Amino acid sequence: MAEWSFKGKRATFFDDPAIDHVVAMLLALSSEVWSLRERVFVIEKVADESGLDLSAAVEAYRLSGDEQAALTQQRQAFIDRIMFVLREEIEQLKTPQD
Amino acid sequence: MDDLIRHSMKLQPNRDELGRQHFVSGLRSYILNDMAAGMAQAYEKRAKGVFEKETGRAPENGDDVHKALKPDNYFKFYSSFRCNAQEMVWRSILPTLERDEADLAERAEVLAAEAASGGATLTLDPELDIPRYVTAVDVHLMPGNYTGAEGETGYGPGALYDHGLAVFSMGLMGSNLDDIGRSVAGFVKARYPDFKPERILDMGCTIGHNTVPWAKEYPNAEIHAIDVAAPCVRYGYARARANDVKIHFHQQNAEHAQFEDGSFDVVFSSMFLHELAPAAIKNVFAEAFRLLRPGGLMVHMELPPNDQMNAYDGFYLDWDSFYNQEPFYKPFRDQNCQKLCIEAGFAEENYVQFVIPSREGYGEQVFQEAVGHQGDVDRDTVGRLAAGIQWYAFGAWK
Repeated sequence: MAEWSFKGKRATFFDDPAIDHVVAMLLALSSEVWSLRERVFVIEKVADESGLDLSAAVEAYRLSGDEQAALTQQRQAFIDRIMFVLREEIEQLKTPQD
Repeated sequence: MDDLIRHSMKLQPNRDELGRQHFVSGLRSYILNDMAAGMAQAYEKRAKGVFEKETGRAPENGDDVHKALKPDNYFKFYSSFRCNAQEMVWRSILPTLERDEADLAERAEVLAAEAASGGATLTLDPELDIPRYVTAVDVHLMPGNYTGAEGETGYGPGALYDHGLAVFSMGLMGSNLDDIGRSVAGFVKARYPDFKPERILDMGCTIGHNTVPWAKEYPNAEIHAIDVAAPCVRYGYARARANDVKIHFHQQNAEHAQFEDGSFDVVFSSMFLHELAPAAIKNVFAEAFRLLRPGGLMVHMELPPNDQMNAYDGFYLDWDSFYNQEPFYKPFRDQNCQKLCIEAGFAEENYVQFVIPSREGYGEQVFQEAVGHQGDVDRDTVGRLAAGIQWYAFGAWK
């Protein structure tokens, strides 16, 4: 995912650059949480329109093995999207830039 | 408002991608409206006083305002949030683009064929020397800039810019990203009703989003649009067709365009000059003068210049030059717009400048009322992408 970043150096603003990283992660996390809320909103609307008592069914649901595996994969991608600044820092150490 | 793009050259984001795009627009709106107001308070009530105590004088110019704000905690968060939001704009598009580019390119090829049979043309120049101010920097943190990495389809960078701009602009550049063009072309048409341009050129058109409205305002005119970035003009050519207008796109450098002397009635640009090295700006103005017929109009929509603005609002705009990889933003804004025109050969008395309320934002009535007025540049709504935006434009008659 490094190719999704611009060519150049990220500006930093705080005395400790770790704070700049934390801000980046916080905002990426906020984006993920929002996106999820938007999806849940749509799910509820769709369920309502279908006459389904969704919340009770969600509480009663048990994930299958395949479903758990699929969620695991999605969760790791989710974490990577949040932690990308740290990963890129290490990737850049591995492949020195000109 | 679910989809951010209103024409058929659009990517198909999934539900989560759409959610991320909406989030970034919302975050930017919060930063550029709410936090901008907070920062003005932090400056007035806190940072300015600290600066005065330390230096024994009041901040006099944009550099002083910058020095005063830099240590301020609110400025740090404002700036950090803005930089992140800027990167997130592109990150909210790129995964969709990666998945959907091939499909988009197929649709684009159909539109391009339709455009060609309708008489529009696309002229690419693979030999064109792309200027260093384009190749050396990913302007406004846009990965790959306008020319992009080696794209598979040739449409990627144009699509990234179109869709990114839709997220970036929070609707303030118009629901079809054409508000600048609609506002400027409409303003020129309303203020100069006897002026009937037959041939119009848009310089540095990127994807032609602001060229489209010129074709709509002046349906009998022949419209040309040039840019150095092949992926942008290629995309723009299909996009213009998707917007039902005929525009001739050319991969050309506006510093030395391939048209005859005196062959245009209007030479227009939007958000273009501030991305050029200062020497290139001079070349572009000289070229505009050469290309215009006597009685023709050069008009550039741009960021308002520092010499017509107070120090704080001036610095507020120049923030991009320091933190958003816009190296030529402040150098442009530090120039005198009238002087640029005069140096290119335009007569001093033929200089014009306009403050134009966003046509979509304010509505037709306010827009038309503004046509008769001079407009005040020194307002925090002029050139600032936030609620109540007014566009600044300047130029000269030949």
